[in-house]
Amino acid sequence: MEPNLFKGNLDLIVLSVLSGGERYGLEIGKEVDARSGGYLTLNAGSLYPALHRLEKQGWVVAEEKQPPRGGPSVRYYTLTPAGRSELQRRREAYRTFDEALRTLW
Amino acid sequence: MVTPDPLPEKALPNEVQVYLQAVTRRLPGRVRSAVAAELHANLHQRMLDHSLGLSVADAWAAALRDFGPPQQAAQAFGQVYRWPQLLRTALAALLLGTAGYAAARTLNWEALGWRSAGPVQETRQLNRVP
Repeated sequence: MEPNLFKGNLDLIVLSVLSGGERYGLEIGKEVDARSGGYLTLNAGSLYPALHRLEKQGWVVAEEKQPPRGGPSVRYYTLTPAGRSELQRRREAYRTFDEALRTLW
Repeated sequence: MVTPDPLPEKALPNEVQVYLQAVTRRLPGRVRSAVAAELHANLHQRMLDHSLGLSVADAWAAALRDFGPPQQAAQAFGQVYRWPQLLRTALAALLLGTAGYAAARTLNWEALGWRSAGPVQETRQLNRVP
């Protein structure tokens, strides 16, 4: 996929997945991969820093929990009300941009 | 059902420890351990995905491949936590400079055979006194 498009919409991708409920990092990556048919892939270098950035901005909160299969506790991320508003704003901005661009084709 | 940990914490492969250190070594202390713990926990879950058809060592290696090069993660985390680090460096430089200046002012430079470090204007005023 186009790297600049991916980078510019990384937050939108992550917030979109979290709108379906709490997830930990690996689950988010798997869901993005599965739902986009492998077109979008998140590796650790982009996903985990993005989650920390979103947390600093107050759009997600994290809670450590034991994962179902055992092993060390993972950080489950959940959208905050501010994060839900931000997701809505970004969806609308993306849609408006996409529609405007298509008028030029 | 919770499955037992196939590899105890103490036996964490060296490659995983090297990866975690490479990602986190430039991060501030309080963040470093939290990021390492999160990456370790998610690597562990990825290792479990691979452990169905591979040995434990190969499953860890496959998990590391999936996570990608540590340099990319280190750079991206560095950008997230850049400002506190820069602020600390600037404050430390300021404190060091202030302490150095204060120390220079209290020294009796003339006793050491050096000219006084005091301001030039003060020296001129002293010279006018008969």
